[in-house]
Amino acid sequence: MTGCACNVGLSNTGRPNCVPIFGITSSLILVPIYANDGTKNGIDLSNALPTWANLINEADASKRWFPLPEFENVELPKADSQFEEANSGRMVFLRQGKRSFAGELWAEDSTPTLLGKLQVSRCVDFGVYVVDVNGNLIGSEVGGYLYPIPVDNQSFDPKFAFATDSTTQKIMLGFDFDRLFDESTMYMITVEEAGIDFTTLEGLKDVNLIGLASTTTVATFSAKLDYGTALNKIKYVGADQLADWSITNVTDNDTFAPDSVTENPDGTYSLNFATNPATSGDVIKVSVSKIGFSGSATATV
Amino acid sequence: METSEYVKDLVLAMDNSVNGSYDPITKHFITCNTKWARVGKVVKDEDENEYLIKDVNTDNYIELQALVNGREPIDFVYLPNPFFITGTKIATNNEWTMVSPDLSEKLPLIWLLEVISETGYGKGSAIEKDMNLRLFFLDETDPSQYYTKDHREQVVKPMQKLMAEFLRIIEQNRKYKTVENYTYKTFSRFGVENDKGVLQNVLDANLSGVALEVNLSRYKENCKC
Repeated sequence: MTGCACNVGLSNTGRPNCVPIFGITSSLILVPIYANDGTKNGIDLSNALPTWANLINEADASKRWFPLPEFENVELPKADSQFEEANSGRMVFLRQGKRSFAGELWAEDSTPTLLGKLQVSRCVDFGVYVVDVNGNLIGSEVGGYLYPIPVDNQSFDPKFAFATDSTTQKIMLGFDFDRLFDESTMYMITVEEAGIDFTTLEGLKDVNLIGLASTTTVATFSAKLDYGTALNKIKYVGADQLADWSITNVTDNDTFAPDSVTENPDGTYSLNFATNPATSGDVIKVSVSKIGFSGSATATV
Repeated sequence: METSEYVKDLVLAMDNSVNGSYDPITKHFITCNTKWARVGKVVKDEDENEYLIKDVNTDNYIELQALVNGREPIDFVYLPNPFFITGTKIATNNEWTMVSPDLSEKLPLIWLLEVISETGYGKGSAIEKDMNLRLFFLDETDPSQYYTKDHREQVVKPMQKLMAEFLRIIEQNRKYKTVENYTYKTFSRFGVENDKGVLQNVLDANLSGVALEVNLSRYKENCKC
């Protein structure tokens, strides 16, 4: 909402042909408003566009993009504006109504595991880039940057719904946008401009490194995702390349790749780091480096 | 774009890869999704080595025989891509027959039957059009060797999996509205049975498979100029 500027009349209202318009909202990308270093997260429109996959795989979670799955039944209603009405009937504008979001994640995209991950969003000041069905990215353009649209994070409310005879399992998500957000700043980056269909972006998967034990030269553990059954979480398999892992000797503040990786049986790993041996009492941190995954654990040698 | 082009794009996006692991002792390629694999078809691995399918245990394993001795697949095998055609009965039969005398080059077949009924939308809608599609998912069958049960096991079942992959591609493509329901018919023999019980093929081959009716809604895209 903007106020009135002095000495300004009505705005010109002509428009060129072929003005891009937003399609139906398909999904959202959650992004913290500010990074831990104090900078505001946004896309610098004066430089070459970023490598989008790097934003998903960003090591610093305060700068990372968190794409959500495809929504169904999305609605973005706007509450009525507020006016004060005098006895004479004269109206005075007070404020615009708030914009809300309501959408549903269906079937495999609606596990209680994902619900848990969504619930913690309330604790962070964040915004959203809206992705439409055509794969365009919609944000707020201010001062040469495309910023995420700020969300009233305390209103963020994901709710789980069990399947019924006529409906599938769902997560129903609702929230309000920041009430001071100026909607006239919304612009989009198209699929053609970005070189990517933003609906194809997928968030990182958390990997849990279980039972990490380390000698001076070998770290062993099993790796599983958060998803699966109570008895059998899905194993993290196939991370058998050197680049899939990094090891940090926390005591010596030294990070390196393992010398070799052995996976046997599926999801159980042995990382050899004989060329960078630890000493007894050192703290070793093993981190997942594979694109699309995130996780780490520490152990004392 | 025209409706048959949209459908063709969906067919081209279908994933013919089967992910799994090979057991050299049993010669089983173990996988949780056998897709439209069926006995007698040839699959390829990542190095283009060919294997004959000897047995299929749906969504458990595919038994393979290497056509060049000693070859073994690793993580993936690739099924024959479906052949797409659109048209009326007569036109399709003519055009499909002329493609090749070799059935393996034009099967499995996905046939979009014309006439296609469409509904367009104006400025007030985000939907470009609704398309009422009738599609056939067909593969060859052997009426001289197969009982009805065999037609269904060997052909109808893999064609249902082919249809499932087609529907999965639609589901993944956000330019289409989520499909809420669809109807399909399975048939042991694809043809017209007359009063005397003689079956006449619609296309010039012995085929079995599935007929799918689905209403597809596509959203409007950005303007180009």
